[in-house]
Amino acid sequence: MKIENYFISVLIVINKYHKEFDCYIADLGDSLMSEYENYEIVFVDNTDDILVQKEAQELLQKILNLRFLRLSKKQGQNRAFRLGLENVIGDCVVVVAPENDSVSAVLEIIAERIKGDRLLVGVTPPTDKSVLYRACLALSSWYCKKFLHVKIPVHATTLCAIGRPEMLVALKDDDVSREFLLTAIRNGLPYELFQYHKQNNAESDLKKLFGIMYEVVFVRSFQPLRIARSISFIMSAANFILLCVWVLAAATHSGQSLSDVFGVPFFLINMTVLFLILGVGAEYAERILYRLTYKPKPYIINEENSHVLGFINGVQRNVVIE
Amino acid sequence: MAILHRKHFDVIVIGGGFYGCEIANFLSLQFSHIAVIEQKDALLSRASFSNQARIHAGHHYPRNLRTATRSAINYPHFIADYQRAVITNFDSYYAISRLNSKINAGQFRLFMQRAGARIAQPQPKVLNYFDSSIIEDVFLAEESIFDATVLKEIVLEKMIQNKIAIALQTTAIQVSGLADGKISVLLQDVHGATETITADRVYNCTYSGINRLLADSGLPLLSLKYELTELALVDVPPQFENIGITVMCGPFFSLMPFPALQKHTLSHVRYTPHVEWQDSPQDMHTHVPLALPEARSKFVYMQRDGMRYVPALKDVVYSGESLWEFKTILPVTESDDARPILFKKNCGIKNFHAVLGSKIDNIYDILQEIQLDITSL
Repeated sequence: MKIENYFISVLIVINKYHKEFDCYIADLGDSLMSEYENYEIVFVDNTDDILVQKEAQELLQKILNLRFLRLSKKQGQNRAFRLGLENVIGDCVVVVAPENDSVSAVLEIIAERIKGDRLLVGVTPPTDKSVLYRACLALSSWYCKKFLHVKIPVHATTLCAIGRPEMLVALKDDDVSREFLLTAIRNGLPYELFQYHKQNNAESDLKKLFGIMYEVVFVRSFQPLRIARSISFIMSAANFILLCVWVLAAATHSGQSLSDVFGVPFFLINMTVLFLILGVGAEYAERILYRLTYKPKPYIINEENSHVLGFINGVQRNVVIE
Repeated sequence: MAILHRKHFDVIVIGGGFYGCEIANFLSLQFSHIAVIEQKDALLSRASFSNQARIHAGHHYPRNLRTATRSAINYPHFIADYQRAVITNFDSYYAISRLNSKINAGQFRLFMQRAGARIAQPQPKVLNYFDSSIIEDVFLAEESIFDATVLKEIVLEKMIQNKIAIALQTTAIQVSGLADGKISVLLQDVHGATETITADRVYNCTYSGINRLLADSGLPLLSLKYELTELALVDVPPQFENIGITVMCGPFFSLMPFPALQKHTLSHVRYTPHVEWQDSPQDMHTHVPLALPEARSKFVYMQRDGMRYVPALKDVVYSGESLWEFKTILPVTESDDARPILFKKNCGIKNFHAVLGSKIDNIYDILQEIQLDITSL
């Protein structure tokens, strides 16, 4: 039995076209059609690629309730995203990034949304990341959860389900708050938000939403950890290069002993580990301080504190707000 | 039993829609024996009935000066000639969207001035119907609607007065030219009985069926585009009872009174066409089926999109029925939204003409062309 009384809009903004995208849209269309009577897939083409228009025309012939919106030229991501939001007509809009979000995840988040008027955010496992990266992430997440009681989003995607009222807030003529919300939604609101709403069944009014996001932004930003992680990777890479050089040197200067050959690399390794510990320690110290001082509160962006926008831009996906 | 009382006519008009019947009425001033062949069991029962019932005064075509101007010129004539069917006690509002519109309010105003279509400022309370964040401006347009049932009565009265023979539930299957210059038309009634009649001239006014008749007669097809369209029949809240709303100019909606059924029609540029396809002289197999297919209504989609511009549309209730039709347009007119009438003379046979009607109020244009054609012979 198909669901009739809930209208689903799925919004997909494409900045770079992949051939697999056609199959994804077809799968998504079939899945939605099998479960929902009223839905639409809104595809915003922000690729500046004339070929996409041709591909889209073919998709339009094949897939029911697909809408194709094309920008006259490539625009900023926020503008493309806003165009999509302005045009959707559903009770909720599900923002999907085909490269990250499986069709099953999209269906799951829609089903969750229908259960209650919560703002939902999807979380997708980072399958494309290296083992080392995942291990570090898992370790830091475990540590934060265990000792700081903070749940770190493993990998938030753009997948989210936004109710129409929240979306209309995002499209209000208040430029600063609108851009803030648009940016946050497009970048993927993290997992805490989902958890918060799940636990509290709270209404997503603007103040509460910004209050949550304020927390989320700081929890998620993790700038020092990013730096520490970057340093550790750089040091590791440097260590490896030096090791190679040293081995080569040892091979060509056979007069040196094995301990002489490996003495310097051992020192470098020790320094790398020290850097790593210092970086992570600094991060955790900051987080503990933050945790002690932070109290969740409504947070409205205005002219005085709009620098937060820059903060979001800097730490997330290098977004330029236009 | 013969389908018609004669075997030969001066003129045969195939297709008993508004254009076909009025062409027959017009020609009856010059020819004695005229027949109208209609496949359905009543005249004016397809596209002449299943439309927005709008009498265009030019406002609907802000991107094509020719169509807009012709509508503005023909509007007062139509109002005068079909007065009984015309309903004027309603207000037609044209709203210009800020989003995705192909024109802005300034351009609309200027265009209407040039086309001679009258507009005025609406009352302030009307402006409250619209979401000002996405509606740039609203205009009260001097526009009317017609009652399709009364229009049919007027046309039929004229036909009876003009002694035009009418064959209902009769399909023109094939047309062929004869050696003596006459044209033979093979007819088939609802029981399957066939009969051949002849005429000096034949007009194919079957709208979406034009190419079907041409194809079945082995004649070259015309390049036509078809859309299976839906106008949702709805009940409106009291404040909308005597008004029509049209959002321009792009993928927007219209809410118009439909007097013949005491309802309103809700249509949407994006959702009204369900399926579209095209005939061409090279493709002889894609012409329109005789029967209208059943499709699931897109009312919900139309309503939801409309609610963005006019929030009170949420109170509009779908009646459970829609007007379905095969809308037929010329592919060349898609870019500027023009709606010219197609008059294709001598479609493979001398004096076998095709007329693709467009707006009901532009009937005078085709009558003028037909008169010129007859006079030139």
